[in-house]
Amino acid sequence: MNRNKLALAFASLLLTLVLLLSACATQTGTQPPAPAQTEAQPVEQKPAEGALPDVIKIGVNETMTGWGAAYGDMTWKGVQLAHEQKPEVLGKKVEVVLVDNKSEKSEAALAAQRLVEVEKVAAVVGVNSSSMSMAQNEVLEKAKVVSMATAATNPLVTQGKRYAFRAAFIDPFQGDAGAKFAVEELGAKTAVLLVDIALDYPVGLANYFRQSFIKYTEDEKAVLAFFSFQTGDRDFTAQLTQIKSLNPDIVFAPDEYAELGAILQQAKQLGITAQFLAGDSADVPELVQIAGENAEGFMYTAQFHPDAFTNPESKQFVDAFRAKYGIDPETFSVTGYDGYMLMLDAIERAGSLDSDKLYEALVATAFTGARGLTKFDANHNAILGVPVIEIKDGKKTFRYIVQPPQ
Amino acid sequence: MDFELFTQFLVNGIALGSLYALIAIGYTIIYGVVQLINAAHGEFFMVAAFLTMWGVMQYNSPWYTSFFVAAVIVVLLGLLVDRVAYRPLRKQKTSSFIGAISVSFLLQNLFVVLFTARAKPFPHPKILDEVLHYGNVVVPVVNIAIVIVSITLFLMLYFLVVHTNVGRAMRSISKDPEVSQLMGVNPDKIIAFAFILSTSFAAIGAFMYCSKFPYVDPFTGVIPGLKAFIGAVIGGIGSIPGAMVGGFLLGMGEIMIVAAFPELTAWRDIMAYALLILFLLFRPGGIFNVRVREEKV
Repeated sequence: MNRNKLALAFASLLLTLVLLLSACATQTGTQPPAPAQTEAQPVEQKPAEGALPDVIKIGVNETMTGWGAAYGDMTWKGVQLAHEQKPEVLGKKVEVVLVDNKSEKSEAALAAQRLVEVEKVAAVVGVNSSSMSMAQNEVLEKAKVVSMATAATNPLVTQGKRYAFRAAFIDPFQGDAGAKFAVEELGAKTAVLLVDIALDYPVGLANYFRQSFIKYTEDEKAVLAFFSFQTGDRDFTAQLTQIKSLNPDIVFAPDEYAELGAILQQAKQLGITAQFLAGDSADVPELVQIAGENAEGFMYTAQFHPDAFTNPESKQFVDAFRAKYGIDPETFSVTGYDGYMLMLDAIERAGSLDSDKLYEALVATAFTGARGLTKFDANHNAILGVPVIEIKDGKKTFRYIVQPPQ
Repeated sequence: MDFELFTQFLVNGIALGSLYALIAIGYTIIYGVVQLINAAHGEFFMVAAFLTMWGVMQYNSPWYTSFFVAAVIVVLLGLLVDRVAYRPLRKQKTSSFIGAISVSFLLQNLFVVLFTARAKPFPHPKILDEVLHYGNVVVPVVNIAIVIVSITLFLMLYFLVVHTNVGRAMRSISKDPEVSQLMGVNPDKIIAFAFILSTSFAAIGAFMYCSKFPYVDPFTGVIPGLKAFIGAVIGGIGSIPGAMVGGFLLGMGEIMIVAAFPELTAWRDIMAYALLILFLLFRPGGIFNVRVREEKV
């Protein structure tokens, strides 16, 4: 406790010191390089172009400790691999500066501040979590530093922000892909929703799925019913018995993995034959451990599967990741990897570290990464194919890819 | 609703109701002898489930050994908590209730720090995953096991309370602690015995609950603990048949409300808590109208 307080006091002291110093620096430091050269064009200042630093710093703001430690670690693994493969840009060495935000929102903002003011990074990659990305982006937007959130999927992370981008698709996109897959690939005509109404993610995703399911089936009544429960509930037999009597083609249950495990088990016991479908919150190994054989045939949409993308860049990434870490890459590591690569691609095309030039380069992105051709939509969200994963023999198996709209 | 569908709901309701009844007994035993609402009961339940899982995952021991060790640890933990946190506060009812709440959060947070909040699969005998079919009605074996275990434990408890000396001492403490002390009953010993009983019920309840809903995390005890508590109050807290009936009715009600009004699934928790308030207001003694012992000045 005491050590924490001491560290906090020290950090805030350091911060004020840094703020003071940087204030002094802007007053004195920027004057000298301006004169000489072209006095004919006083309007056009171009300090950034000539002034490429010897080392280009990329900040990585991640959840290395705290509840998100596992996710932060996976993301950092992806970034490190990308850095290893692409350690230079514009003829300069790239240095990645990792800061730990301890999985806390306030720390994420502080970490962003440090990256901007102390480390003077050219761009930031991360955070994998939506709420921490939002806290970070408030700081970065003001400082005019471009950012690339990794696995964060809440629309608000980039909405209304000029310099904020993300290397992942968002939930409306995922919900739409799930519905499209259900209707066009599985031939589903009816669906039922089973949703944890105490959490934002399931409620949002289920809503997007419902809209798209009605759109693709062209049937206003295609969604037969909406059943709810609350986080911590474990007995779903009442809802499932109702679902059994409705006999839908699809049960869309975009819930947390533990509840989902119990749902799948009870559904199998009750003899429900409908296809269960969920979102990327199901992409956790514990799901299969909890549900056991009952998870057979269960499907969900996710950001990534090693077999989902056939382009050589993807194969290369998967092989290199397996060789380096001995495990399969998943959502977090692929977004970390692609996040770094997308940012370096933009720096390369901008030919500068000026944030407005980087912004323009990012908007024009058409980069082939580990998930194929990646572009950004009007709100700076990645437009990507959505893999559908099926549990087969207890393993995550690639089933289908929903191609992004052109 | 056709008959088979109704029977299916009935099967689901009996299982959930029996589970709540089993857990509710733990509250009522403690309340009966010390008038303490043991808010940490759900956490004893969670610790039992967690340690059972941990024993199997970490030491590869069979589930029954692991469960037995876990149950013993939880009983000892219950005695420790009573000795350290409850007994010094016994004279002040409010303080001891606050103490119980603190113990509850302490255990939850301790387990989050030690094991993280991620849910882990709960190891249980494979036979409990089987299901029996009667026409279109599905009866999971685990439901049958829950009912058998519950009824057996109720009968044992009944025998213990009515026909043994410890049971008589428990009842006399609950009626009048001072007079029973004059008659040679040591209240601290009897209260400790009540804690042994209550935590044993928590451990067995946890095993049955997590075998049916096969995962465990540090918050496993919160919802069943709350629901069973409501059940105990509805039945009449302090009364053993009250806890059984109250817990059973609450579980059955939760299932039947969804059966009758599928749109109202979101409302079932609200109704459970509303029911609690209604009972406290209009029939604090519960269905069995248990008399609350008057405090002597």
